[in-house]
Amino acid sequence: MKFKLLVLFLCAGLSVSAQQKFTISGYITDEKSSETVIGATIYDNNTKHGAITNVFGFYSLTLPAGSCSLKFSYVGYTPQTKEFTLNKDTVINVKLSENNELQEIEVTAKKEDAGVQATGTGSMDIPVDIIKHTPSLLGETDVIKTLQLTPGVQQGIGGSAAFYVRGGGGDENLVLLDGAPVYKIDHLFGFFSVFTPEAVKRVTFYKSAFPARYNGRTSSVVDVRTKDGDMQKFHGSFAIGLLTSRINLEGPIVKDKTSFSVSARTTYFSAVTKPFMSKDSKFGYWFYDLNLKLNHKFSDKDRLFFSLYSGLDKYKDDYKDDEYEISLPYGKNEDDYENYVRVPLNENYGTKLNWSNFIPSLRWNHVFSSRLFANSTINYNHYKMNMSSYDEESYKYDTLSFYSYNQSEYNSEIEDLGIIMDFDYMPSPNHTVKFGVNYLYHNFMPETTNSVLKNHENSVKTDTSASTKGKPSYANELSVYAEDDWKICEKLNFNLGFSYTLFALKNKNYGNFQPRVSLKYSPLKYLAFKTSYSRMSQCVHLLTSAPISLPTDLWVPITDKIKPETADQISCGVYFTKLKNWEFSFEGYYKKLDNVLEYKDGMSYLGFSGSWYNLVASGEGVSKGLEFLAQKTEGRATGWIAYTLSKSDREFDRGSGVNDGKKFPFTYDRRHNVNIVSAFKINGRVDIDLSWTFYSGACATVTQSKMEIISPEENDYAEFTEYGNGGYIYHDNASYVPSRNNYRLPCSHVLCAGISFHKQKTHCERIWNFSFYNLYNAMNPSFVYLKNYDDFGHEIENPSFKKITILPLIPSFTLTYKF
Amino acid sequence: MKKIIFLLSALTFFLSSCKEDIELNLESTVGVLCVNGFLYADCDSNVVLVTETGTASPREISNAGVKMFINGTLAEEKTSADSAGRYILRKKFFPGDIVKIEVDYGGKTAYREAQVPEYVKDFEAEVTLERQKTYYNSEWADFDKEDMYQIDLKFTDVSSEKNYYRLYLDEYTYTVKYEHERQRISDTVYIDGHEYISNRDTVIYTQKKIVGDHSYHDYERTIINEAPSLCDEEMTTENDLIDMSVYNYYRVFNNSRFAGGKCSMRVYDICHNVPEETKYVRSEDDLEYLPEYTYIQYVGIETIDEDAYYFLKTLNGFESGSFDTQELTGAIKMYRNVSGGSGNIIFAARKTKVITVFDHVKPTPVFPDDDDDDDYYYYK
Repeated sequence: MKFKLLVLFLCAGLSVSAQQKFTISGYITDEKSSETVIGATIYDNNTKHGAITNVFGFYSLTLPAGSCSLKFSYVGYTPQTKEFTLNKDTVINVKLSENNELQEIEVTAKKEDAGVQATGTGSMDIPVDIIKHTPSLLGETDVIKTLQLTPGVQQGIGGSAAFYVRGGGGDENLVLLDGAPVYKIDHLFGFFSVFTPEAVKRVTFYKSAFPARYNGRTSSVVDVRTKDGDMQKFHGSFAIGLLTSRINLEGPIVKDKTSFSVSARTTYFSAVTKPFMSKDSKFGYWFYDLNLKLNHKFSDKDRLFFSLYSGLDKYKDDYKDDEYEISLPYGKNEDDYENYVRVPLNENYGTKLNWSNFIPSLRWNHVFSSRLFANSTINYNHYKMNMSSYDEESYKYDTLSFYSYNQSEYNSEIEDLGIIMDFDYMPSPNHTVKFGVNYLYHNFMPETTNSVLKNHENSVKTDTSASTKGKPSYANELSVYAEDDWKICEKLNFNLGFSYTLFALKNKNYGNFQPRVSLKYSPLKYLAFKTSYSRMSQCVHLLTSAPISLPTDLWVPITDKIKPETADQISCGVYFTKLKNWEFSFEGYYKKLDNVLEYKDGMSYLGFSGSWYNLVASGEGVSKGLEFLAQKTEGRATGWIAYTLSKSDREFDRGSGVNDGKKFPFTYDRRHNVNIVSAFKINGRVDIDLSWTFYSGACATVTQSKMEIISPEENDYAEFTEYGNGGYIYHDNASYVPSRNNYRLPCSHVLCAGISFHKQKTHCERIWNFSFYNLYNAMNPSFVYLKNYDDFGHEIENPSFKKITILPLIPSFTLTYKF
Repeated sequence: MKKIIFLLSALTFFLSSCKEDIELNLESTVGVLCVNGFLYADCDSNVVLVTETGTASPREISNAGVKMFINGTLAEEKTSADSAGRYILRKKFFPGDIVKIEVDYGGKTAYREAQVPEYVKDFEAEVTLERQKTYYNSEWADFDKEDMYQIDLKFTDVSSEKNYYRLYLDEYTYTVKYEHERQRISDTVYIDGHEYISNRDTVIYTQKKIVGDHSYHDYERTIINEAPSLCDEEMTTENDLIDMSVYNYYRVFNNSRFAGGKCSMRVYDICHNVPEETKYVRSEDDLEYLPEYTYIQYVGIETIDEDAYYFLKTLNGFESGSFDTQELTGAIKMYRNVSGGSGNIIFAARKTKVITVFDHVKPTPVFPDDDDDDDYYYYK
């Protein structure tokens, strides 16, 4: 019934008048690079109708026959106007040239899906310029770090790439790289994200009013699009920083036909830390990112894109110990101690940890007609984690020899194969219809272990090996969606859509209908009121064991007993753009989460992973808040001030085993959050970037007292009490925790600053950037814990709480050459 | 340029190395009533322990009011603990009864009310000695050989609903020594978690963990074929990573693999008091001084409820050191089922078999050769 109503509604909306109409369509590109421009505006001054380019730079505008005065514009570019008589369907490809007078950092929020002008609430375009000018840890400008400074987004441990949107969990954010979901978005235990700004063309962030084409996560969508590559000339940049270096090259392979863009980043963390290592230990950490994109334009109707992201983290520590000696019987009589010899034992042991993302995708843009645009994507996603440890011992003395090698290994993998068909249909200037289908094949291989045991004693070999495979989980995820952005009248916009997802497991199928509705009313040109409702569902979860990102964190699908998580969100807001170069927004939201997963009391991923689904319980979550954003979009100084007031709770049934059925705050339930971001261009050679963040305390579970527990078996510490029938019960002391997240951490505040010096050299531009994370060295609490033991391992009579600050003042620098 | 980069790098790391610990204060949680007990059906001496949470250690309470209600009727009441701090409840309850334990102290009331689980059905158990059984010692990531008791047991699930169980094992070894002094040597099994799980859960362990063509593995596979009906995977270690494994110290499992049906298990237990097969003696006179060995194995299946299952799994985690890094994970909230306070009152129904494996068994006397050193062999 719902579906029928929707179809009827769409049909009614799509009805066109009898007047003869023609369609103008085409691509808008950058004049210099031929890079498609996303979100450019096409506006007919005569009819007052307009359109906006989609994520592939394509537009379509259907107008009545007659004279047209089309204005093509995009912030930062010189507008172009074309006047002509429309008497047939027309293709106009426009090349916009950059406006050199507006080189400052600008926020371009006038987008189709995102920002003040969009129909829906809670969306934002994050310009790459802003990302590049947001000072961050170790000078690593970063998509995610910039997102963390927007209203409604909480960061995890300070400095990390984890983010929590409107009270949702860290696994509830759908991060898409050219349409393919990325499971592991960070390096170095969460402190760098995998997105190098040089490769990024556009980032759109949604936290409510999700367009129907997005589904699979309940809290947010981060849609990252990479550069297509310059079709006109070759250029690039090279940056060397404290811990990483980056290179970006792009240019034509065949001018105006084929282009490439390649960005790579690597770290030399090991080389920098090597002088601080002892000679017996070898520590190494290394990662790289590689973004490659090839773009071929067959014709104005067909384009093919190949993009590849490959990232790898490698960590190892090796230790060598050759100072230890053992006694060996040597001679005829083994019991004759006088014949024993002292032989040095060589011992090597260590740990390795690798994790990688490999995401190729192939996209084909096809213009079926001036009103119908199609994008087809095939993508593959392989995330792999490998952890291993080894221990090697050997000695040799005359005819005596011994060699042993033990290695245990743990692997976890995810493979996704996705096929996506997206269609943009623009039947009239008042309607933009998007529909499509998305199929994902998931193959989760959560745990595979291998062990190798080699033992060679005096030439006698006893080698063994063992391996186990965790239960692979296969799932098919099929989504269909449709939405219409309908301009009912000049002041009223309506967006109606739905997504239906079928998640098919081996034994069970879950279907989920997700309606999306948004309404925008603009009584004045500079004033808009919006409201929206959206439902999202999520069928995969990340099992984590620590607040920092660990490669052992495990993505798992729902099971036949664990239902998909759903989130229903209502949001509304008011938007004001009267002041020149300023945009103000004020939004409120209420979000209800169902089937949120939490570990039962006393359970944890660490060590229990073999049967994770038995260790978790499903419950509810409620999140609500108010968000204020004042954003300066143009001028020498740009940036924003954001404030968030929020509250987020979780509640589980009494019998679920979670917190005795009592409501408890979400870990990142921070009541207040203020972000100030500013980029100031002093002159053509120097610019200063600042960001200041204040957030009230997150929650932690701490304990201060001891309680008695019992156990039915003897253990190392328990005392025992005999009971009547000859058995025993054993009792011991354990920490008493009255409730989860029972302690609110002190507030945190961080000032980050960066200054850049630009100098034009003969063949290139040189930029020195110096940045300071936590400039005034605030001792923010990263962790708290009860200190039970002193530095010598003795139990402390009156244990006290300690907080650990892991990120004090950290200066860094980056040297960049642009050529 | 290199110099500048090096100096900047060094300066950065120097400044970044500072770290500070600062004390925090927390609202007091001392004085919460804590009630604990494993209470067994058809048992006339169930023990309840009552304490209050304390800063350094819990405070024992010996004058609490402890009431036991069976099917809504007050069956027994204690107003003080015995000298060992125990409230011993003598009134028996049986499977299916609704039992409530209510404790009053200092104006606070804590209670637990639940239905007593049913006994498993058709319970059978056998114990045999396996000499030099090969097993995978996960503690050392190596294969070892030990004398072990092989324990085969079968039972039928209580119902097709979700049920939770605990394998109960206890052993008594009596040795009559040379001096003819009958002495009780050990009254409990040697429980070392690492060895324990590697052996007692061999069936499940090998089914899940070991795939290979080595002779050790062939041996293990044979066992699997003999015991196709297995318990849930919680019986085994959860993974093989060093320092990350959780061992099933408390032998809890559920019926996910045999719901409503029969379960057969084969588990192994290293026994360090295995009778000696042979004993050197110097003369015929010494024969009367040969030791005698008696070994009695208690094997049982306890039906427990879900609360007890997860509580014991939490204890498994603690015993395995999984919660040692609480700086990262935060403090661990224990599973508890007592309302109005804390602690766990666990009702269980245990079916037990008492199996005498050896009854005054003597080793075979061996007389050393004349050439050998008598003293050496005698004392070996």
